[in-house]
Amino acid sequence: MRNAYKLTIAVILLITVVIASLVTGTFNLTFEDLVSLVTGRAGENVMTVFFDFRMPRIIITLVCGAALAISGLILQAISRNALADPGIIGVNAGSGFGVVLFITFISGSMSQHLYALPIMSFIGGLLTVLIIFSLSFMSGEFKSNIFILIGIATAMGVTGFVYVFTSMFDTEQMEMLNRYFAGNIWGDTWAFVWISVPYILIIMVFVYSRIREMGMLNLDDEMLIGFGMNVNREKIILIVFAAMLSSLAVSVCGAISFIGLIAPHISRMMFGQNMKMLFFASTVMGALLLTTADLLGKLVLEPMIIPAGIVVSLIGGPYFVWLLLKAGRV
Amino acid sequence: MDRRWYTLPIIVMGVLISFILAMMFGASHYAFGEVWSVITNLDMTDKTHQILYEIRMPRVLAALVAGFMISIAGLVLQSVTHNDLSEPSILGINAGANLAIILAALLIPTLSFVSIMLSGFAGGMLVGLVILSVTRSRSPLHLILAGAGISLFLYAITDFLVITNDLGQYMTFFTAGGASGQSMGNLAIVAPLAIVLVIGLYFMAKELDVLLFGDEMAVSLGQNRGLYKWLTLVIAVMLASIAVAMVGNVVFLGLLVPHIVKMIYGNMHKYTIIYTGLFGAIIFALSDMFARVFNEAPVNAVIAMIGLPFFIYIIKKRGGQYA
Repeated sequence: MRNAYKLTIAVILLITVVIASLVTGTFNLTFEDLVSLVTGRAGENVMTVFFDFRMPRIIITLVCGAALAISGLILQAISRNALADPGIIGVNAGSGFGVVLFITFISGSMSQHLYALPIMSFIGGLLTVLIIFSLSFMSGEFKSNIFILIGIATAMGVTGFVYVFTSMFDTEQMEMLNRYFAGNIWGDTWAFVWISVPYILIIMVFVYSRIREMGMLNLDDEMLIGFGMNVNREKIILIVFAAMLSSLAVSVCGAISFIGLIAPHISRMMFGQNMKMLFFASTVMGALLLTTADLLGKLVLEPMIIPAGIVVSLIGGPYFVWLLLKAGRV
Repeated sequence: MDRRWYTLPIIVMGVLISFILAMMFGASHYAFGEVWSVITNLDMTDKTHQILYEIRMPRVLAALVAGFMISIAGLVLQSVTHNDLSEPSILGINAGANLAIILAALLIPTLSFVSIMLSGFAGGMLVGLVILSVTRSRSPLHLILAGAGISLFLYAITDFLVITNDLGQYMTFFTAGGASGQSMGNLAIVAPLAIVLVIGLYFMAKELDVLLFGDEMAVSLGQNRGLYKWLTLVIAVMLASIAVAMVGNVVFLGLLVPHIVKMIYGNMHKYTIIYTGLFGAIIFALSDMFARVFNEAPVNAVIAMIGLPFFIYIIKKRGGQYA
């Protein structure tokens, strides 16, 4: 019951941040504007700002934040390690490589082909994770720790390759790449919403259907096999889901790290270990973190916009170090 | 004389050969005779000599020195942290140095090379402190994750500074890695310093051997392990951060070279320090050469092509330890 209270508070907080994001920006909306939107008597330009600019961005931010959080929750459950995060294990680097290939080979006006960009980024991220994944088997058994180690190494290696093509880039192309790596939410139109959000939601439903197995993964493998669970298969399915969620999210909102690490962790501290509860709590926390980061990045140094990815890292990094130091003492 | 020293002349020859090869090949190629005459009989009125001496030679020497430093730093870090996968960039030391350098360059734009090195060292050392306090009784995986997370965080701050101050070109240099743009003046500072640091390490070779065996062994042998652990760590971080100031964030080199050397020569630091340094110099100079030949590709891409498969191989071979 107390968990339900806490979750309600988190949701209320989330709604507040969402409303704040909807009304602030280069074109500030007033409270009357919001009321007129609800009652359907809003002016043309208020409608445009609200429905064409603010709405798609907030939807993307909410859903991607949730997707990254769930991806992190899965990775942590599988590796039994509270420090696992999709950004750390190479999804961002792989997606970045896809982005570089896109910028390199699609010359001319990039804005024309902009919708191909998330697809390239998605393929890059997913392929990277699947390659890392296929290398993580030892004598037929999937080893999650090896998966994480190879992921970290691949992230380092691929980052070198990203810069192979950049010597040919002009300033505009370079700026685009830097925007991706800084985690600037660039897919903020309705088209991006349609190509990413439905898939993320469908995968989330699939993940939820395996929530019981996820909750059991913190037991010993032998014990799980004793219960009749096909541990390898469960881990493989969940990893593929995690990879798809994070590369989808990253493909529309840029290289964002730490959400997958922090959101499940805060949820665990607040709501305990029940996996079903954790699923909902992480979803809310992830969405809350990314929307807050986007809002802060928009407001703090106005009119300059700090990319959400950087804001998340600036908050998440110290949290991560704190986690480490705390774990070191145990 | 131990037979493990017999190969030393061959490796030293290898360094000389890689120097000459790296001088010959690059964005444009020069004949052996031209390179030789630059070394033996420099004539600054000759245009080819001028290019080779003023642009190519500092770069090649910087690559040799940087490879020497990074590899030895990797070797020492592996011993100090008891972790086969330790390496300056994996542990986040490079990220710390990188951030401190950018920060210093922002605050005082007319910074001398020495102060850039010093600020890099300060940043690297800060990360080194965190890392060492984290490693005490944790698994190898924990340490590597810690390094990766800290790197991500520090690069985010660096990114933030870069974006708010419009420093894009700095960033590319540090992430891509490369030995270009070095002057003989910088080298005259770095090379002697590197040699002094490595001689210092060499005197502690025995203590490093004991550190590698583990803390219990060190205690039972009566070693003051705290002192040597810190001393060697400080030197390793110093080597790594100076290398960052020169050639940016080079990945995998500090992992790859010590492993190859340990496979051939065993674990005694008396041998591994010297051989690691020399092998590192050869590999980095040749990687930089290939990078130049392939249209100024980032040297990290070249090293990663060997380094990444090698990393995966190490993990697979010693899998039980990490799984």
